[in-house]
Amino acid sequence: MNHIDFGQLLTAAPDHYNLLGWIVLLPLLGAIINGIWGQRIGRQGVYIAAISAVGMSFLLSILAFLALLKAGNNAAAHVALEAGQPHHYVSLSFRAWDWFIAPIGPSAVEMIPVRYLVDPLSGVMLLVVTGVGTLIHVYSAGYMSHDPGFARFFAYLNLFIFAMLNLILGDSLVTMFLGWEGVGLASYLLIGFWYTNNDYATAGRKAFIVNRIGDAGLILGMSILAWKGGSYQFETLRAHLHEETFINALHERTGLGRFLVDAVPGLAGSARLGTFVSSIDFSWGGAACLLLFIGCCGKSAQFPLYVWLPDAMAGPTPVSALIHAATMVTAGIYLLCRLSFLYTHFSTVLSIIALVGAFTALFAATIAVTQVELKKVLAYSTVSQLGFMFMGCGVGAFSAGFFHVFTHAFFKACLFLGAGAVMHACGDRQDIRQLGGLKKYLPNITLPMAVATLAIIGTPLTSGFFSKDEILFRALSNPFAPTVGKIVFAMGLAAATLTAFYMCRMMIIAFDGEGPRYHDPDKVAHAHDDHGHGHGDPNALPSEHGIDMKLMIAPLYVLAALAILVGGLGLPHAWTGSEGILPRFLEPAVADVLQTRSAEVVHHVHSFEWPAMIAGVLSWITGTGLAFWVYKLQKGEPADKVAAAAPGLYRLVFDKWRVDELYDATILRLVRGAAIFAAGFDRYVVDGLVNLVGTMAMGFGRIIKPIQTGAIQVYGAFVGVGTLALIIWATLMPAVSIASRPGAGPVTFEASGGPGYTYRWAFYDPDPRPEASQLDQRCPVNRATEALVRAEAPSMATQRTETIATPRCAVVEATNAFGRRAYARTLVLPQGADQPAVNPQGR
Amino acid sequence: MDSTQTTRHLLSVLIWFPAVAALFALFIPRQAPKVLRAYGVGVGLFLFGQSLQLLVGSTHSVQSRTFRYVENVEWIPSFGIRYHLGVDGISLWLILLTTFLTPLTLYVSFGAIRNKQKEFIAAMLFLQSAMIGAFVALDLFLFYTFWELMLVPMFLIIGVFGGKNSVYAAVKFFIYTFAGSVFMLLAILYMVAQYKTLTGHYSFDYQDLMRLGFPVSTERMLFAAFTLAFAIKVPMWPVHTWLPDAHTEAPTGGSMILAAIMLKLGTYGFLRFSLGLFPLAGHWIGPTVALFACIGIIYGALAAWRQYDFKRLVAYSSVSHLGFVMLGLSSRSPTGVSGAILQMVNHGISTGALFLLVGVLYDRRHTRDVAEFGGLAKVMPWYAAVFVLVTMSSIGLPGTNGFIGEFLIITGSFSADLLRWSYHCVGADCEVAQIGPWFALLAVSGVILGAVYMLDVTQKVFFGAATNPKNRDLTDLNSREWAGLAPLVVAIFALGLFPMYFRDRIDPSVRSFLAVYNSKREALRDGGGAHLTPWLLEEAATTPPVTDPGNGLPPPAVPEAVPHAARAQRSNDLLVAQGN
Repeated sequence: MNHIDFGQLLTAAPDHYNLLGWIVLLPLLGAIINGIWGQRIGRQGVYIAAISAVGMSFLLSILAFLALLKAGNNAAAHVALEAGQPHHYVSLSFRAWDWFIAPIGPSAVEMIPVRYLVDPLSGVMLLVVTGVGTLIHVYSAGYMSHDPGFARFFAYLNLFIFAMLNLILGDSLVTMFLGWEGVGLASYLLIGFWYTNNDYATAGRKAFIVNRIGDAGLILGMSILAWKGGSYQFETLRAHLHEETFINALHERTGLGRFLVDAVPGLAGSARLGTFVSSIDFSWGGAACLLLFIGCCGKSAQFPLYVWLPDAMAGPTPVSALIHAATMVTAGIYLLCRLSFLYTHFSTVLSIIALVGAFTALFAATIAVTQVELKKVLAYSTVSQLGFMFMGCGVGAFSAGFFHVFTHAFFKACLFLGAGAVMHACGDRQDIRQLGGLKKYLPNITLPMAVATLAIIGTPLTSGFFSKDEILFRALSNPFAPTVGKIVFAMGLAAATLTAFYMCRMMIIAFDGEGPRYHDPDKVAHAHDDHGHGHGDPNALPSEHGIDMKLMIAPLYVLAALAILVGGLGLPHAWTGSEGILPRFLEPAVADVLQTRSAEVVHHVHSFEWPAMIAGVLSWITGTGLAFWVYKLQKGEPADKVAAAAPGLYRLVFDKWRVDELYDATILRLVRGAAIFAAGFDRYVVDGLVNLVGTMAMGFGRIIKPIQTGAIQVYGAFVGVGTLALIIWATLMPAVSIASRPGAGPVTFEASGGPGYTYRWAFYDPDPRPEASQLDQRCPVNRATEALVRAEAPSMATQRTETIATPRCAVVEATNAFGRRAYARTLVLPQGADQPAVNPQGR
Repeated sequence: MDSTQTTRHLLSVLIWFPAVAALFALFIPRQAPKVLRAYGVGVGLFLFGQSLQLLVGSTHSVQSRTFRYVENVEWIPSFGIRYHLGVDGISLWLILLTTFLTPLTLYVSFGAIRNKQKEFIAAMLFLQSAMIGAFVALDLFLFYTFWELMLVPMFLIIGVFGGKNSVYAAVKFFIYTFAGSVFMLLAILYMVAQYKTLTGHYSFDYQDLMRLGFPVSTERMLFAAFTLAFAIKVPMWPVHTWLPDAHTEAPTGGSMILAAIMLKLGTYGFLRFSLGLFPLAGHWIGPTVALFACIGIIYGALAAWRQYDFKRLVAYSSVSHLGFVMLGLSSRSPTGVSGAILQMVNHGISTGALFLLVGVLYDRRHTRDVAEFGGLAKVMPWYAAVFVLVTMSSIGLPGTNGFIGEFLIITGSFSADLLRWSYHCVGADCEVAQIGPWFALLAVSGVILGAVYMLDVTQKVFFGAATNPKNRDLTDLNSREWAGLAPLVVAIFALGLFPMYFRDRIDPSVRSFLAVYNSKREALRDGGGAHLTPWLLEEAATTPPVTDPGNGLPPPAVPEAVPHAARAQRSNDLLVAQGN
């Protein structure tokens, strides 16, 4: 390949690689065309616009990927390799424009350009997204062939690809966030695509809001990283993590952490905690990692934010395949891999991630066992598989986690598309209890789905086997938190067994046995098809005929083939003696905790490979065998017995552990209560007070209304009383204050006062003690009275000029005609002299 | 005056032209409504064209930091009142927002307002006059005059053209805001009197009064008097309750102008006058203001969620959004303040568009009750599309304008230096905690709640089955409504994708404003603590101290703004170096 000249596309300057701009722009153009003129250009036009936009984007992505390979192979890289830098980092980038300037500290700022970057990590992801995206666009042309909203659908789908490309190609956290929220929008629109069904619209809203909770964490995490890590950009952050200052700043303990460590003795260095995690440092960096992980939990449907994903199945099935299985939901793992160089510094957070991932994997697998709808089983399976990916990241094997993203994209997309094809053929039925025997009628759907099932349950030599095995073995051999690693391994193994069980259960019930149970030859066709893509008689036997079914089946075969084959990219170390092709390719971009460990540790880690693999195969045999025994041989009787034996538990699991209900009863009720309180408080208390003031003013007006008689004598009396009051106030209660007008040398003082006052001025030295900060301390009252005793005779002059050389206290005493006295003090500082620091009261 | 300035007395033209045009409008016969409408919109467009001249040379390195298009002549010499106008980066975009939205609002309003169009045009033009005047006045008397003049046309717009309960709302609006600003007038008069005592002559000039220093307690009271007026106008929690009433009763055009521009005078005034004139008090109370802003963000969002009246909902969302602006301003970090100013413009555009959209529905159904609607996406698809777009802008989706402002405010206040809390004080020696992150935490919860209430109302109005038969035959957007919405949609993306164009014209002024703010604060802290009486700050306000006081404050030296063409080569290192 080195010797083939691909022309300018492959040799363009690596930092002006315009092609990336086109890759991103084409889907957006598709979205705009379909969104605005979709109804006008007709069905064919929409298909052509949408599919060609993504397809061309895919072709250009292949070119970009080849260019990346070529750049990696060029002379400079070889020089670096020979110079002992095997992790030479190659990337292509394209800066579209300068977006805005964001702060990276109290006063420092950083330019955030819209810049796209292809490195090994984003290059692989790019191929997956545009490749699977193209296949699913083709599939959708068949699936949506009867839906009147096809133009809107393809506009949204193209918009999704555009946003997803921003997410994976963005070179900074902010540009990534642009795509991150963009895919959220596309997901919201597509889940609620059939918006006339209010439940579907609610599912879309739920997805958006749960994701927003994660996004809030992401924004805060970003802020911390920018503040302490000094940049929003991945490349700069990576470089900063080699610098002492930034590492120290990231490891600095947070205020809350200091408080906790002070308040809870022994928290920081607890030996018991130490067996789980190497250390808890409560640092800013750890907080940032955790907050970013909350964002990942939202997007990648991890506990406790996974609740939106099963509901998201309300969207059309191609959407479930593309967004909610293959691409968008893996964004969290993608972000962790992008920041793997950072996460390897915070092993506590990694352990949390591993535990959350393992728990989610197991938890979701238990729910999947009981579900009866095809898409629900697959949805919980997706949550569970995403948990596996997080397990991989959490034990420090980021490329293993990403490898599972890669393989999962193919087999899960295939399974979802297959499920969609089944629904399309069976009049939108997806309850497996109504299906059955489909292999007879839908052989071309059954075959790829069976292949994909083999992959997801980890049948040896399929892609799922390799990627799951890699995660399990790295969990078992976790070098930095062995206990966590073993717990995670055990949970992962249990989840893998359950995966094999529930997938085989679904496939056997739906595809094997006696022909579709919903089919009743005597029944009259009157069922209503609310999605608008009906296919005549809903009671008819399913069939694979028609152009739309052909469009749907072709992608299934492609994906099934890939689901089998891509495993070859990550053959285990134990078989070949070296890392797989994909992990090796990713190595420059994705960190691994093993990269910084000694050769003995690495060797020790690899010694776990065979035991883990054997355990994985055993779990596969157990799960599959059990499912075959229960559902194939015993026709499901043991399962019914178990359900009957523990009906409460069965209902609980079937109701998805009632987590949604729990949230509804706690958090949602709290927020709703707060909102009702705020609205009521506002109406009755805050505004009530305002209206009360208004009413009081009016009432007061009513009270004093009788006074406004218009009789001059009464007004005159009021004036008289008022004047008298003023005179009494001015004469009985003297008041005085000093104003000073600084001049050059002499300072002019002016006393305010009233009629008939006489004034006495005095000056004295202030209290020199440094702790005297208040005026009462610096110019004490008793010294003022002393000074006034020595002062000259009172006069009528309100002004006084005095030359001030050192700080002086000035006091003036005013006496009114009735002999009542008042005084005022001030401290004057000489002009130009060194001024002693005087603390204002408010400091 | 500079050679790049193409029109002499441009600011005077912007102020007085609409006022005079409003008078002329009264002479156009009512029988020629087309002429009348064309006249109103024409005047607005002409002024918008004129105001674009403000952009000429607006990034020029020196000028953009100080006031441009300055007009400074004596008006009432015996009281030192001057006709002093000027525009800088802080007010530039707010003026352009005013001239941009006024013709648009006028044009859109003619759909709903069929009677007394002449009076409506006159009131709107007069209102524009007063608002621009308040944005550019650099004399406190002049500012106060425009500030109060603004109330009159808005009072008429709400009272005369409003809904059923419009008189109550108009009176509440008038009295509430007026009561707040009376204290500001007292404070202005007190300051002028003290200035007279110190210098021997009167002056209402902003730059003169900036040199005044006060004893701590006096300064705090003056700050409170100014801030009360501005907080009511913003409106900040808990003095916000006039807003939902005013918005509910005002006609669409009135709501648009009220939300988009008039509220910004509160935030503008808080920055320019409260913080600019009283930095010590601002420093003392800043974190508390930020806390109230955060309460407003969350409280406004929660209250908005429970509203059944569409316009009340948008009104409460304004309380929430303006909480963001106040948080940015009170962070007093360069990015926070720049972000807040951007957010003022953003809010003007998004909320203006929201009110316009609500008005579209109201014109068709004459109800604002959200429960009356449902499933409208089927009936009015384009309307639904634009509404969802504006919703996304309102909840700050990246790529739209809302994101830039919110993001800058949150990150800006996260690391803000001046948001700190001193505790365990021994003498002057305190432990200082950075509390910016906590405010950011509160603010992001507002980001979540923003999505909650906006998506909730979107679903109620547009999704689900169209059950109400009255909604079945609603027509989609007509050409007049499109003409009103299209510029706003363009602005949403222009600000969201190319905020640098706007920010380059804001930031130099903000940095210089904060440099003056900080240096004045330093000067007051070191020199005047023990004064019981006011004193004059010699040069301190205009000449920042040479050395950095070492407390991590932004440096007094303002970095040179880089010409636009050179920015491609501008590296981040350079920016960081300047920032430090």
